Amino acid sequence: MIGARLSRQYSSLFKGMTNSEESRHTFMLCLDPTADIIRKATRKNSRGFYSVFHYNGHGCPLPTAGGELWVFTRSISHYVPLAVRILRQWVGPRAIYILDCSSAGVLLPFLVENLSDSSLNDPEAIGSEAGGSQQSTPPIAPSKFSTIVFAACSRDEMLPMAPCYPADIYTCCLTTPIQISLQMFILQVSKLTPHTDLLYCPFIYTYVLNSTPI
Amino acid sequence: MSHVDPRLGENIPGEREKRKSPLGELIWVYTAISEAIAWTTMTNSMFRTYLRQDMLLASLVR
Repeated sequence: MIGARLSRQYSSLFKGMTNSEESRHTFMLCLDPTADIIRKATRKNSRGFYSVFHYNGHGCPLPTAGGELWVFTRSISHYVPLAVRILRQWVGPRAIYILDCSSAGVLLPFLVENLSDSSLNDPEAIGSEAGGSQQSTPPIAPSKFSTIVFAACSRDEMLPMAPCYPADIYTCCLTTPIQISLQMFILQVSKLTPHTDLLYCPFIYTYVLNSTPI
Repeated sequence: MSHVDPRLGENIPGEREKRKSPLGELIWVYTAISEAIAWTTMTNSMFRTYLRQDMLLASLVR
């Protein structure tokens, strides 16, 4: 269900893009994937543009301190670890990682470290990027900002699990900010009424406590 | 306000790209505000990278 909604959110993001450059975006939905499926999906990524790897780790084990995500075995009976270093070689140098899982910050050092692997410094990708963007803004240096990570929380935090909030609340904040903020507003106002269990939700609770401008 | 269903927020009428619809207008205002904040806080090169270079990245960063 989350996967279906995620693809709907992304397709509504894509719908507004009518440029020829942006319409080359394609996306692929991998539900309960094995490592093989992920490798096949990342093989046909578009060179020179950003590839988005969106990991929804709800109900999976936590990512390990060794930098591993959890994917399924072929028979969808067990979880097996998938190292982030391998994943980075598959996805390519220009990538956006969205990690919507508890203790996602564990993976952050593995995603931002420099790999000495030659596949991450692909000259073809750099060249097509420079040729592809004909806008007034000059293309940035490809070594800089080329991997962008969105992580839901730091290494020792858990995502809120109260049933009144959507499980993929971080994804919602990124893709459909208007809708989720209205939803949160309604929930926060209705917390003033009794029988609402706001304390179940540490994220919103701390947000209300220290709501300082960034 | 307890009678308001939180699901209401999910179903705002309109489409993203049509500014005359409620959802489109909200997104338009939101884009303006968030980009103004980004312009005043980020450096020029960061702003270009995150908000002008790639439409998908921009809509995520906002």
